Amino acid sequence: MGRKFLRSHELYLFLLIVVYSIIVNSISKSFLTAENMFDILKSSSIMGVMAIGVFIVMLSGGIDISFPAIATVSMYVTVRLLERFNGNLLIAFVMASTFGIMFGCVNAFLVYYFNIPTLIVTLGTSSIFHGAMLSIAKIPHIYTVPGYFFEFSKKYIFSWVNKEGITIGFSTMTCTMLIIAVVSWLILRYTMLGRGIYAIGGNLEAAKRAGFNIMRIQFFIYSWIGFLSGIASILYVSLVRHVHPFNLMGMLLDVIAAVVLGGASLAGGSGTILGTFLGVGMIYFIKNSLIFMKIPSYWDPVVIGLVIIVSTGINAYSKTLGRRGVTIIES
Amino acid sequence: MNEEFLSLKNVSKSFSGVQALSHVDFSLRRGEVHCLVGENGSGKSTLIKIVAGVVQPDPGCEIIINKKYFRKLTTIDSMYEGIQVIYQDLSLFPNLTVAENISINQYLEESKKVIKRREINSIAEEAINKIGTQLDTSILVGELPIAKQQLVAICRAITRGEKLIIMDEPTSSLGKKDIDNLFSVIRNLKMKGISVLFVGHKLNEIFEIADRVTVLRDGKNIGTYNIDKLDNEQLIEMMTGKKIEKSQYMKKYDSKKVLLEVKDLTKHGQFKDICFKLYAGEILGIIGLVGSGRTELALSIFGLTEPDSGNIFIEGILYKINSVKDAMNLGIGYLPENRLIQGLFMEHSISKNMIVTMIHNLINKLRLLDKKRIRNINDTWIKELDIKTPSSELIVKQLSGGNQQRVVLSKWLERNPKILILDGPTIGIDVGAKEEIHSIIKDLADRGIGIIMISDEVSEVVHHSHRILLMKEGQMPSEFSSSSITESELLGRLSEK
Repeated sequence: MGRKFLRSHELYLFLLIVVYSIIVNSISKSFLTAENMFDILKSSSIMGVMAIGVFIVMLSGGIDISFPAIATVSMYVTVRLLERFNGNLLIAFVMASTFGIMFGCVNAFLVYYFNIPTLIVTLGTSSIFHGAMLSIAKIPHIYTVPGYFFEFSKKYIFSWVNKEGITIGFSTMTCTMLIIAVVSWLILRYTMLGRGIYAIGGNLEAAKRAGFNIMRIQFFIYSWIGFLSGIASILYVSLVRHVHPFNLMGMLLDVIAAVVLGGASLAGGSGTILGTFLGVGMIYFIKNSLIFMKIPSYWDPVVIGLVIIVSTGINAYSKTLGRRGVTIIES
Repeated sequence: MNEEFLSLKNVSKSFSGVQALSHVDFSLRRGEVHCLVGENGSGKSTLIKIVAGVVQPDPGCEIIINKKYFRKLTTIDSMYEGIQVIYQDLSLFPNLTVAENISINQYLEESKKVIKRREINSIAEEAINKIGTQLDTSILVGELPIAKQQLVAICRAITRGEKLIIMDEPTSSLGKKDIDNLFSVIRNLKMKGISVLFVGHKLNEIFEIADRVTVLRDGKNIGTYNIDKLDNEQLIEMMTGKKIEKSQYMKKYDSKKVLLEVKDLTKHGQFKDICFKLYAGEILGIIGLVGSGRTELALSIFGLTEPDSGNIFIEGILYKINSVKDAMNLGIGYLPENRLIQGLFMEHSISKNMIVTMIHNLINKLRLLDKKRIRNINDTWIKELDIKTPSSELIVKQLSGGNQQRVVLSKWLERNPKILILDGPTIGIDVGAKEEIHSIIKDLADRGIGIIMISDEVSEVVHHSHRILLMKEGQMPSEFSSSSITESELLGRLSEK
């Protein structure tokens, strides 16, 4: 087990993050501070929640690019309704995630019954969901978000005040993300449903023959990412305090990049939740550090693109080397 | 013992007009090892799929399992009656552990929701002990060599109270030791009253393990026999429908012209101090079990892995072969498995097939294909090899088997190789096609090409090569002339410690 860990993608990614932050910190001293670290943990939780959903879809050998649209639409409908009726945060979470599950089921239905490639299905539904929202809601901006949304993002599980008088703490948002991660991890590792997701990603034909209920697994996968998109959308409203029709849409590539960086294979069947987390961490560190180094944020995508290509390139290259090596004689 | 477990009567199946099975009767007894043999396309896999409930036969047949009459057999019915199939592709999950793979059927059947590590480990251990092998249960299946993966698939099939286990060519990727292991498992199962339906190609294995054998040909049951009533020739004849001449004439090779000489070639952990010579026109058989270093040796000669020490001489000149390109420039070809015959594009013309491997040599100054030279090559070989065709533009599929073979031959001859390394040229190939491949190999040798034929089948090297080198644990201790050793002697040498 120890040796396996030493060769793992996760360790390598973790070391990359450590080395990177030491370099950044030598340029800008305020990067590696408790304040900044907890801030990254808080703001990355939206992306983290979405990334877990995307990871599970990719694990099954599919891809979902409709999650930003699902999140945007769920967010808009939920906040619009709660504007008119009395509600609270719990109701918001329940409503948004229910909408998310419904949209996810549409994806699952199309993927399972019509056997359409998942990329095409979610490309189509993404366009339909988002487009319908823009056309039906004439003004898709909402600036008058009920107050209880903000309070959530300001709460801490524990916190302290540092010398400069700034409150540092472990945000409820980070906590939400961690709970979701642990639940997802438990499902993947300890249930037949989770093993079924690995199984269909590893060998779909064999999974059918073995008697896995493919339909149930597909519906779980796509409704789970729908559910998580709903949760993430409420976290987002809570943090930025208004509903914007395009901001979340821009997260698509970052999230997929984080998941791939975390070691999930586009072909399905491999990767871990921990890796996905580190992938999200890496993307956030890069974005955050560029600000600290006073590099214009236009450079974000360039740097992220480079990191993805280099890190997955190293991974793929070491695999081809491994394949070329010849089996050693068994003694 | 003689009680029937499974009985099929008048089973037919056609797929969009093609008759895969016609009016087949088949019966299988409790606790017997029953072999199902036949060439490719004879309907073996269709029959298996019908028994497994994957394919529904055409109406008018009768299926009786365990004295129960089935109008329609589904996959669930079949499993419920205790029938398990180990498919040739193994149907394993490469990204799950050995323990998970083995116990997954049981979990699914009992529709358990939560995985208990301790429980799946004990299910796996029990199955592994039952077949008398050793496997690390925590490793991912994808990290295991194919021989071990096969064992995992077998373990998975025996976790529950099975009554019939169907094995679709289970030995095709196993070494001798693993096959012996498997056979002792099969005998074990038999003693416990479990029937085994064994689909196979290798006749020696069938004679070793079977109680009865059923021969299929062109979708018809040619007959079911007790194995001790049959001999090798009779079985081949029934499978192919034609008599096969056994000892073919082997042309003498030119023992003056050394094409390849290998001296003290060593690659640490793979092979050690290998020395041999290959003459023009010779077929040199290298026999060794999986893991003996035979393939590793071939790859080093072909420039894929660099040996640690030792020399390779081509026609007396010392060369250092650093890459595949070097090897190919020196006229060395390496063909893994049955690539020799796979190389035909059946839907394309003779002409295209002939030039496909050397197309980059046929480009004119404008970077277009040189039609004239292509026609020249086509005409030369059609004449030289006496291929019977009205035109070189004919689709290969329309040629007879023998003429197709000659197209394959021309393809390799046109590249003008000196040395061909064939690594397991007939692995997973049925008896009829095997003979064709052996005659292609002989034709190539007759034209002065030196051939190294790597195999783990004793009969293949004894009957189809001039000299035999035995490889064991990375070393090459002995050499035999194929005319002076019998199959059983060589088998003895191969398996002795």
